[in-house]
Amino acid sequence: MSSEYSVELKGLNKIYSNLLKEDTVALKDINLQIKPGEFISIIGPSGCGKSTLLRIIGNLDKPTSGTISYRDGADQQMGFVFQDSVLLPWKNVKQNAEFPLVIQKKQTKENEEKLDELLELAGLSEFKTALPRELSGGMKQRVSIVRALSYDAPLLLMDEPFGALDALTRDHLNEELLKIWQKTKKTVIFVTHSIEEATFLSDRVIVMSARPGQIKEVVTIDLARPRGDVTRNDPRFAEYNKYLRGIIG
Amino acid sequence: MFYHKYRKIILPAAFLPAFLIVWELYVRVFHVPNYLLPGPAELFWSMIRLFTGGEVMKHIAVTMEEILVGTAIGIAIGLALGYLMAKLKLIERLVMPFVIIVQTAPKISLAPLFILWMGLGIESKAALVILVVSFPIMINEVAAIRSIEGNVYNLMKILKARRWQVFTKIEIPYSIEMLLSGIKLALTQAMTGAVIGEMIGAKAGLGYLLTLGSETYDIKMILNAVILLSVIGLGLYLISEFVERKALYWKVLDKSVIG
Ligand SMILES: Nc1ncnc2c1ncn2[C@@H]1O[C@H](COP(=O)(O)OP(=O)(O)OP(=O)(O)O)[C@@H](O)[C@H]1O
Ligand SMILES: [Mg+2]
Repeated sequence: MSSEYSVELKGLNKIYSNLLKEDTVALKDINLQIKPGEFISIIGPSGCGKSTLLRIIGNLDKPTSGTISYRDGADQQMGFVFQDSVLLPWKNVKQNAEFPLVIQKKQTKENEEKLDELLELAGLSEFKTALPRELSGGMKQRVSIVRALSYDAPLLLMDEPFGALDALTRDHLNEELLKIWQKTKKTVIFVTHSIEEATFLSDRVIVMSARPGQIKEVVTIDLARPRGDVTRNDPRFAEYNKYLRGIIG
Repeated sequence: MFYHKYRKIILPAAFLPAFLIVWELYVRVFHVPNYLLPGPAELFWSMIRLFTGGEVMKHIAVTMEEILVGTAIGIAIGLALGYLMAKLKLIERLVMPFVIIVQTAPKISLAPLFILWMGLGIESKAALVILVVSFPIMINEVAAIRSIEGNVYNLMKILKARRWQVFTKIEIPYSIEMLLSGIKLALTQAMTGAVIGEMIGAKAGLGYLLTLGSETYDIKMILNAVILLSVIGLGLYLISEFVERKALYWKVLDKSVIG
């Protein structure tokens, strides 16, 4: 099914059946319309079904009921950034980043040039031949992001990509991610635990509640772009954070 | 500087002559009869005679052939079975109980059976080597495939990779990693398998020389066979370690015992 929205979710439910315990209702009646080019964050308490929702959008898991439609139909191209970077240890930075192009047989000169630009943008130009074991956690995650962008999929799904990083690195990578997003005009769905991160990055923040996992509220973040240090010092930034913290409880 | 760099070679090289001199003196001073323990000089000349006699090359070749052919086939069988077991639950449930039973029995104990079935030639020993090598490889392959993170498969799914791409780009590299780190052990076991098989029944090979030496009270032949086996074992170890280091460049490898 195709849609004018980048992604459209209608009446999505996900129930995990378990022989020993009661069934887990991981997602209940999720309805969501995401516009092309939008930056959406999903936030909520641990176990509320954020990863489940993202995996269903990424076609890695099937919903128990409900429908998903993508702008490009069933064979929608997507990028996915996992919490742990999932790099192949025998490939260097460049080879890991271009892995999707190899798999999809898209190693054109144009795509290779674009990849070089992305590596440059992510500050990885000097580390092209480094192996994953030689990289810091933040660098690995950058490679993982460049890899997800390398084949120019219009939809980017990210599951707590910076969750394992320290606050300084995280802030820094958030700004870089926004730069890349502004350049490439992707639709981004970003799962996070951090309220500040969600506010800083997003056009809209989806707040979920736990058991059953439902959408509690959708908050539109009306802060000017491009965002940076100025945004973080804006009193309205603090207000949004306070408001979101209030809803999550 | 020079000493530090080549310490690993200089120290044993200095120790060896000392050891040989003590050995030679011990044999001479205490008049040890040479059918119990020959001196190093005498042993050295008997080794030269063994090589100039020409026969010994044939025995070395036979043992090497058993080890190499058996290991190659054993690896292939172990990999194929291990992969199938890791991928198909049904096969695992069918085969695993038998694997555990055979695995716990000393496989060497099957040697007399193989020799009865396949004769005194290379085949029975190669079969024993195949058996000895394929089991650990199979079990390691199951573990290697199982150890691949779920998200690696998720990544391939997101990239809309085909089944054979998952096989060639992910599963084969992970299997090679396992194989290379397991090959040293496999070769050691292969050598034990081949030699024991030869000792039980063979017409040629270094294990056959060992038995022949013990039956004819020829201690020099036994010692020479042991020395040749050690040299072959060391050679195989160094080669597999070299290959491992080159191929697993992306991994931090443990410091080796030798080399
Ligand atoms: N494969 C599964 N089988 C059974 N239950 C599952 C499975 N995956 C997730 N669940 C359950 O579904 C619920 C939602 O899990 P999910 O991983 O989506 O939460 P989350 O919001 O991403 O949590 P976190 O913030 O800790 O990552 C949890 O209660 C979890 O126990
Ligand atoms: Mg999660």
